[in-house]
Amino acid sequence: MKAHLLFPDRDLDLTAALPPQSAALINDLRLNVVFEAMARGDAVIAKIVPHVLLAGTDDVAVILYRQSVMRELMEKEDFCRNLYAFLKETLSAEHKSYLHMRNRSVSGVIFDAVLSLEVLSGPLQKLKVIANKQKTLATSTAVRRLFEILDEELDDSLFADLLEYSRVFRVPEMLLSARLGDGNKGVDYRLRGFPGARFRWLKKLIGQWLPPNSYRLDPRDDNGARALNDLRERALGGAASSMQQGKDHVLSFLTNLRDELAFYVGALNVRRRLCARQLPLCFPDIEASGCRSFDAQDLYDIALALASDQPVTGNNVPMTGSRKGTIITGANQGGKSTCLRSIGLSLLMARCGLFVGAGHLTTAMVGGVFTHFKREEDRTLQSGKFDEELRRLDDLLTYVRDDSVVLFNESFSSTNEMEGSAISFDVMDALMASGVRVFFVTHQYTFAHRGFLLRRDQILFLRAPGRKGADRDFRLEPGEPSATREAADLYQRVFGVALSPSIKTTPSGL
Amino acid sequence: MTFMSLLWLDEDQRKGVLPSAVPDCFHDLCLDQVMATAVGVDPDLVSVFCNPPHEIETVVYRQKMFQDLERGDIAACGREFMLALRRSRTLADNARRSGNIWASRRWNLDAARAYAATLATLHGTLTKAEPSSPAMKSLIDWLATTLASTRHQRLVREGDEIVEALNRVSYMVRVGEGVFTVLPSDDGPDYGRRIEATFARFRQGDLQPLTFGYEEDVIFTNVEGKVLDFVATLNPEIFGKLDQYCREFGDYESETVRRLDYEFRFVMAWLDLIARLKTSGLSFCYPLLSESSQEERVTDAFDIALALERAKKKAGPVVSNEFHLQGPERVLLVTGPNQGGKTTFARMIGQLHYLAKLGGPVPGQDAHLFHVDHIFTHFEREENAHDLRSKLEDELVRIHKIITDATSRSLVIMNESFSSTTMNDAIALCAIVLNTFLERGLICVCVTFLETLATLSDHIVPMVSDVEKGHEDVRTYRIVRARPDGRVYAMALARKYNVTGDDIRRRLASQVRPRETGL
Repeated sequence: MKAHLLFPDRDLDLTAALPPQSAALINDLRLNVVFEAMARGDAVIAKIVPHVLLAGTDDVAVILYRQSVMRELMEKEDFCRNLYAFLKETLSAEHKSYLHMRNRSVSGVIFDAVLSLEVLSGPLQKLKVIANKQKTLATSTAVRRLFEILDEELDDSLFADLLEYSRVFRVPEMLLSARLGDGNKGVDYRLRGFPGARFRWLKKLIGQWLPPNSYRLDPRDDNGARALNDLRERALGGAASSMQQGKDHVLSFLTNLRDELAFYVGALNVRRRLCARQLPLCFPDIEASGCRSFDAQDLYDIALALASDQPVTGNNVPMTGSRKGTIITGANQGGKSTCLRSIGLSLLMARCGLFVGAGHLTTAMVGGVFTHFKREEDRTLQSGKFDEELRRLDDLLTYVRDDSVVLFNESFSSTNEMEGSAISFDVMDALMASGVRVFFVTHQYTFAHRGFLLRRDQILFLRAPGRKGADRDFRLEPGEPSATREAADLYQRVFGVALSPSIKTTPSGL
Repeated sequence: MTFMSLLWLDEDQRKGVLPSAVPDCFHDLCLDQVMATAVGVDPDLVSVFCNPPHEIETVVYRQKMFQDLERGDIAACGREFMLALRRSRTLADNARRSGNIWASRRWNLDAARAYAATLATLHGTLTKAEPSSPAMKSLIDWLATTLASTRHQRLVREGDEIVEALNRVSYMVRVGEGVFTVLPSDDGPDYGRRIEATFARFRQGDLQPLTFGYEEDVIFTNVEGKVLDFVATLNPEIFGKLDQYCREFGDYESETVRRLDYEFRFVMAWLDLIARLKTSGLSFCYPLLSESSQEERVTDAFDIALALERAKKKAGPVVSNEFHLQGPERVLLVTGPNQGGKTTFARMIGQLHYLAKLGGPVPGQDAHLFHVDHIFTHFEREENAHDLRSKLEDELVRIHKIITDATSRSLVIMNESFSSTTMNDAIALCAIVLNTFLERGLICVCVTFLETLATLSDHIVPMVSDVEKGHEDVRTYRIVRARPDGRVYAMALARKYNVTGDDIRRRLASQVRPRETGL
């Protein structure tokens, strides 16, 4: 009996470490805003969502599996929320019931388990009713299969057993077996059952006679009573372990179901807020592997939309055809970083089976998303800033694969433009040549221009327009990078010649 | 059974070992500390330490045995033997503690079998290791004879049969309130399994089964005892055999095995101790002992007590020293600066002679020693009273006893003797004593500040504690053959403490300033 709402064939593994570079992603893409909006104060969602979102999946089948669950639960939002609330309540009630009696003695463990199972028995029966009704209404494979299994496994014999266990352990008579161990001490104690009923007639005869090989303790023999109890407890050890494990299995099933559902409830929470602002959402189309496209329309940064009430600008990013990279240039405060973040976030959400903040998105499968953002706040004393940037690049390259996406935001600007540009170009060119998609926000005209001259067929160029009057339009436009005065000055200083059109005809000079 | 010992050649020698007091020289030579470190928690070993053999043949017998046991594989045989014997004795001890007759017999049975296995293992491993010493070879023979005896073979075979039968016994107990009944076991199902089956459908992953810790006490409760008695009643045949076995083989451990264990413990204790010191680069060797020649030659030896102390404190290794006596030389007269290693050197010589008699490896790269009959020490004693006369008197009483008891084969070690009296008196007393020793022809080490004693005789070898050339305040702790001159180090020490003439003038001239030297 498995929840399997996130993977067709396995549970969510919350013990798995977050992928490397997660901290950078959270920071650079402002993921905490998204996490908080999904959780809306719910501790379970807050715990689950970062795991699922950051881990993502490389498996298109899993993405489609989750998209189908998501679609169904978007249709049945109230049912989904109610089921989640029911599970949460069940688990917290159970938790309360035995919180005070964390007793590790055999009888304590059995007592805890019996009590917990008594508490859980009602909710399990309710779940059975829900499953029986919902299994025919389900539209997604995952939801249908879940309710079918629940309906089948939560059967009469289960509830009969639960009833029996809540009774037998209160009966004082029991039958145990053992063998002789070291020093002829009893070992390998096993519980054989509770011959309580058959034993009852015997009780009446006590005082008159005992069967052979019997012994009756003196009522004042406290040590003997303790020893007899010890014998009993040893025999109950195996049953205690089974009861405890049984209880834990039930709890962990319910917990898994709650946790996996929490992810979808979180998604519903965000969806509700974005819909209220009438922002578009869509399920991305995932293209077959081998292709490196990223084609987005009206792509916006969900984190920004959640964090502020300002109007949201959508961008078109048509990185299609032979293009594997995008260079974004242009004015400060022009929406470059926001666009870069929206690309990163949409890829992360697509990778975990969620909808994305765009009118439309088609993307090739993404193996992993990595960020290399300029760090203002990084003031490492042991090495220079440029060192730090290269070291960070070195770190993340340990994990980058050919189907990864790397987002650079004003990287390598801590050195002079010529050196920085050379590095930027080499890095981007090498990554693209390896199949990695690169999105690069830069002020380095030398770099952008060189990319335009040499790799125009592979790179999409987007430009942030400067502020035109009071009307702030952050929409990026496709276009050739243009030199700012700053770039020209720098160029002149570095090359000793003015940045003139003639440079375009002699790219070898770079 | 033939006599078998790792330490003694025959029964008479061994019987000569008395649980005697610690030898007088132990305190002065710090051998008491060495012994304490070596025996550790095994005070039984003290009597071996305190009773070295008198016969040189026995020392050689031991040296060869020690050499065998320095081999890792043979040492492992010995260690395993000791451990296994200890385990078997723990089992026998359980028999005494259990408080139930059937438990006690089962422990006895297991103890006897463990004992038999211990001997068989020792025989097997030792034979495979092919030792070369007479002691080890005769041990192998002794073991072979013992193992082949009918009684031993029955002990093993019948024991195995009974254990097998007992392991097959199973029973049931019906437990009620204050009452229980023991029944023969059927093959009914385990109720815990049934519970597992109920919850199998919920299984999400593997869970660690709960285990409950019980203090497994050897002692039976009355309930456990009753249960076992009933189990015995239900299985009369097998428990009858167990009873018979214990009557027959209850007393299985032989006197020889007890002694062997004891002797192994001694050898291992010593080898363990020197192994610790070897790791810090110190050398050990088997001394060549002579009963005829008093010529001695030792290289790279050291004070083992000091070495142990420094090893314990993780300080650097001790300084090694060498000495020799050739021709008519009998007395080593050691002088030099205080704290220069003189006493350490004297102790080292005493230790070497004593430890050599025990038969194990001794400090040094190489050692030729005279097989002395007794070691006398004459060291300064702390006293309660401050009366100098009584101190001198005590010293004189002690030296008189030594002069009376010492033979030409003895070793006498004097350390700062008669320092409580005036220099002239001390010289006179020392001269008399040394002359007596020289006449007797015994070997003597004399640590003193009375350099002039070196001129008494050609048979006296003057030695001094050395200092570093050019840094005369730095002691090397080496004791070298040299005529003492007594001047170089005085100047060095003066400089060190800023009390040379120049120092004093300078310091007096700058009195107004706060003291800088910290003195």
